[in-house]
Amino acid sequence: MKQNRIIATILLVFIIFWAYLTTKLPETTMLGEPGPKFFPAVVLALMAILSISLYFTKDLEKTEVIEADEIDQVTEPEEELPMNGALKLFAVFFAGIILIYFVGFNIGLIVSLSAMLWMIGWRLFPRAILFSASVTLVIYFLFSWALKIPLPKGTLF
Amino acid sequence: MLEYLSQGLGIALQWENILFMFIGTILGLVFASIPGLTFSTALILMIPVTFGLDPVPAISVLLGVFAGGMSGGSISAILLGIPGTPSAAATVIDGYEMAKRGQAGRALGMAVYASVFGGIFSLLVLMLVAPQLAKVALKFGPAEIFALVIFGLSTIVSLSGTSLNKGLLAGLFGLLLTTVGLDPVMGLQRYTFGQSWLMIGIGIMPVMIGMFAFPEIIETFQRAKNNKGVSKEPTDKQVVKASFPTLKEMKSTFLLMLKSSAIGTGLGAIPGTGGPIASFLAYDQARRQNPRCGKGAIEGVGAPEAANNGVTGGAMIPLLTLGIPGDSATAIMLGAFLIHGLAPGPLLFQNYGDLVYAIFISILIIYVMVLVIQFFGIRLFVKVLDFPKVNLMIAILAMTVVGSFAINLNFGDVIIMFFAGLLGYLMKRYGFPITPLILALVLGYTIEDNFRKALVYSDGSLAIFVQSPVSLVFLILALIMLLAPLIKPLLEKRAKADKA
Repeated sequence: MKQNRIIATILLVFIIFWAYLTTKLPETTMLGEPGPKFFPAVVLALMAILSISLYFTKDLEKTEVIEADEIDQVTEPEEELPMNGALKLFAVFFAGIILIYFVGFNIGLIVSLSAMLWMIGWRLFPRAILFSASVTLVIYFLFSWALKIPLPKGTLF
Repeated sequence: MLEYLSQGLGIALQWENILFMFIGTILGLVFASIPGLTFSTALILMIPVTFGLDPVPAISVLLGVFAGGMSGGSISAILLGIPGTPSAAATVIDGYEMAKRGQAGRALGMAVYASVFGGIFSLLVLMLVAPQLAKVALKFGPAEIFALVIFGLSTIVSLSGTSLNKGLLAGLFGLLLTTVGLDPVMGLQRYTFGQSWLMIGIGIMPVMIGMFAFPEIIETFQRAKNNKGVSKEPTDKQVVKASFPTLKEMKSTFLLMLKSSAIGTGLGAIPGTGGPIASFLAYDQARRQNPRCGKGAIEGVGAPEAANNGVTGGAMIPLLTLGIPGDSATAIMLGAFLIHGLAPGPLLFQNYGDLVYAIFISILIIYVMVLVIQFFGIRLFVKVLDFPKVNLMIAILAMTVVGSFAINLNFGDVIIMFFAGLLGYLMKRYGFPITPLILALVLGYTIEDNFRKALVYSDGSLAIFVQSPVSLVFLILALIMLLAPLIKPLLEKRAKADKA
């Protein structure tokens, strides 16, 4: 129940914030037209009801989830991976995206991919850089050169 | 129709289109044959590549991935006992048994034959039904379109997995995301926080790219870090060669193939059902025909494969005629159509009839390719099973940036893609299904737009939605879909009480 309660609380806080934003939207000026507030308001109301219902719903045990899904029964259930590791990978990739914004696609991507490879255990850094550079090069030639699709340019240079 | 057919033939047979169909088919087969990778990821990967292409080759490559992906799931299902896609889960039961008895080649041959049979059967149905349905749909007004899309959205219920509550919440969140940007009727800004790049709204493609690709990428990286064997699957190194079914086998399974293909096509046409359900239903038919099913019978391989490939043409019916995707793969396809300026719906048949028929012929060519590639290249796919997933994921990670940026050449979309990926990861971790959110994001704008337009036409009277028989029927169907999970346990309880 604890996990569902936390998620439901986060959702309710979000709904209240979004509902506040919705109240700031202007009223309609057309006859019979419900206006820009109506649709988001209905969606938020339904979300609030379901979030409250989720708050009082018992957390489903892992075994129950597996039993309930007949189609997935053929594959072996996999153990849950630590959240911390995933968030670190997300953080590194986000830093990479910011880097791409400033220095452009080629340099930014090589640095960010190399960092991620290092994080997942490619301790030989030159190998990680070489692999990242190869991937970047292939993408550069495929998009910029062959397909003439522009890649992100850096704001600094 | 004949005019469109000949024009479509001319377009589909251009060498450029054939080349892209071939590339797409190979990619779909490869992705589907590696357990843990989905052909939805392959579709996402190919979307940025299609930006530089004309609409027909662009759609051809994606159709190749779709059909190849549906068919390729059987390779690992038979050789490893692990379905490459959820649709191939039923194929494992008999296919793996046959492989263990040294009949992998025979099982693979039957899987290829059945896949092509199901795919071509569904294509014929698509060609007959879709143009007629499009003609009817042309007469729909805002009230009918609203009701139809609400019905399409109600399939969230069947896509919600184990928690209906979480599925509905995901769908509603998707609807809320569609309200960001310009209001569809009055053109006012909503939830843009003064950011000009948010005025066009939250793009479908960056969200899809992030949500489908990131959970897979992060999980693969984490498993690689923990050395849990992502790069090496225990493939059997036996020499595998697909052997085509004999004439006797084809004759004895012909009716079963027809039945299974019809099940697949019929279920594929209903949004929210898809391959896994169709293949298990067809497998049940095979079990009735041959009681040896489950112990390595050829019917147990053919029936599910015909059914899940029948889904491809079936799923194209609501997608092309009504613009309603039934699952994640068709939602991605819808996004690709929109990017290339082709809005699926009845007008597509009216304005781009030649392109629609080119798509039909492309599907036919793709299935011939599936047959040839899988039949002669099966040894290559056995090797593909050993390909290190981490290397592939690094390439996909790089493509997520390109794919999200290249749609509008807007860096804001890369940021949206990242946060959608993070959200997708968290949703998957905490048991929230992703597909309802995607489906709602795709359909949300149409729902609000048509609801409000219908009310303008009726001077604010809600009666407009029940006065039209078409609208009324779709709304009742949607209500049944939504209430079914609540009513079903009550009926089962009553049936048990009656028995007692």
